Amino acid sequence: MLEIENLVVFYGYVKALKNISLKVENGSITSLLGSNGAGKSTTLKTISGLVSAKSGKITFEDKELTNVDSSKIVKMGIVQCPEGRQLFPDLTVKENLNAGAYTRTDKKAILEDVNWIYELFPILSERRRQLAGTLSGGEQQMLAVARALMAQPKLLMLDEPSLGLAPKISEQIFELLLKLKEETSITILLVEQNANAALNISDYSYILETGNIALEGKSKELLKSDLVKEKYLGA
Amino acid sequence: MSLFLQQIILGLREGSLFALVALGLVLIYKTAGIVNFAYGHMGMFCAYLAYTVIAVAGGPLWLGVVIALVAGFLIGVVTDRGLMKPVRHLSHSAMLILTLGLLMILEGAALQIWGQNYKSFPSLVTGRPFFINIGESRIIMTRQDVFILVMTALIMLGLFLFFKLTKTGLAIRATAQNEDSAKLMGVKVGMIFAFAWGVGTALSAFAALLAAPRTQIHPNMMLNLQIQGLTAGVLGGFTSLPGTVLGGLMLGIIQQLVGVYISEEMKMAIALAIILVLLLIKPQGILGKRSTERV
Repeated sequence: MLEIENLVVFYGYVKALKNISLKVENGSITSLLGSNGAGKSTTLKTISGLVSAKSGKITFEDKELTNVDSSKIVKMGIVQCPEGRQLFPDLTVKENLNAGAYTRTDKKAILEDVNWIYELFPILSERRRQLAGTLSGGEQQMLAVARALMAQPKLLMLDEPSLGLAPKISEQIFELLLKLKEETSITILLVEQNANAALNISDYSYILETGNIALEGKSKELLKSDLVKEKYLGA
Repeated sequence: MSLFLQQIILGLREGSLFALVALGLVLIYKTAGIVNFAYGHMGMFCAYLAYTVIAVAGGPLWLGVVIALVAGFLIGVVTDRGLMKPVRHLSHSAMLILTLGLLMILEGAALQIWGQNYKSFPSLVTGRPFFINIGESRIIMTRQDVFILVMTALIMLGLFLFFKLTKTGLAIRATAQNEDSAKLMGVKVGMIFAFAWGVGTALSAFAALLAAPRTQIHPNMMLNLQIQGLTAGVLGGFTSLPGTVLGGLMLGIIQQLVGVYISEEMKMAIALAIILVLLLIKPQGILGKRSTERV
């Protein structure tokens, strides 16, 4: 579905991505792991068009989208839920959801999706008139995912959805991702620091180290690998 | 007492023009995050264009107004796309300095093209003025004065509803609060900035046309109004539209009262000093809340 070939990205003079190639299969959960500064977020931002690539190629459903404007990428069905939630704090919960549906014109379907979101996250329904900035951390994360879902993604990219959340709440988020995989046709690209959780819910994983892919494989197999256990799972 | 009431009404008359100037300034700031120092001069330039259409080319008044408003919109869009966009990634002060440069260019250009003589400009609405009797005294409100007050209220209401109810309004608010997130939702942030610059500058042109009968048209006609508009905006918290209008009206009243009861020459200076003190007590402005938007 999504394919990245030899992607190189610079931040000023700093080479953030040295050479990244990866694939996301249709209907899968693919995870991108690694420590801080490995280039996980940069990879997502480059796919979304927030950061431009120096060289390399990104294709989505056989269409090239390297350095295409971010608004077009959203329309193609790639939606990113950014790290640290990045909600619109002075908009209400409902308005944040509407902002998520910005590129859509199918008013009826948007309303249906809002109701679907409220079923998925009853707490957001209760707080629909509240300003997003007043929600708790967990609720904000749910709203961030919900806002991304409102854009009707084919590929949903999540950047550290469990960051700063209590273990119980991050578990809810991971369960939600599994539910989305089972009940919808959404493909998920997940960036996580919690390698254990990510390997457990994903089908395939890539491990990044300083701008390169250090390791890749089926998540089940990576979980068993001694190298992974020692280096990334801290066991 | 009746003198006091009279001054309040005269203050409102002055203040509504401050509020109108402030609305455009705040619109651009709220959206693109920049205080446009050239704002008043952009309006001045459009007023000259209207003057040229009417007095030089002999066109009808309405045509002059339309051309000034359209020119304002276009000048705003071009300024954003041509001047602001290339330096947006550098720093906020880079954009600020560019607006200062634009101010000087517009002033110089106006002087070159139209010379330094004051040009008179007609009122947009004419007719028998309104008389308001308060006790023994009587206040005269021209139709133009009432028009300014009503238009300011309508524009504020219009902008307010536009932000609340339309998709583009929502996108502008979203962009102001988190530019990257707005991009991730598919908002064309560049278009949003250009739009705000266009509408904001058209408002400046409108304010200049309304002020022109009183100030007459000259290169510095909007200088005081720019300062007063800026002050009104600050007073209102610089993001809230109703706050901005309230700030403009308050500034008008304060100036009027200072002018009558303290000193006519010092009215602007003292009014600004009072506002300085007000802001020390309530830095977020009268209706402003602590902002999570542009800082």
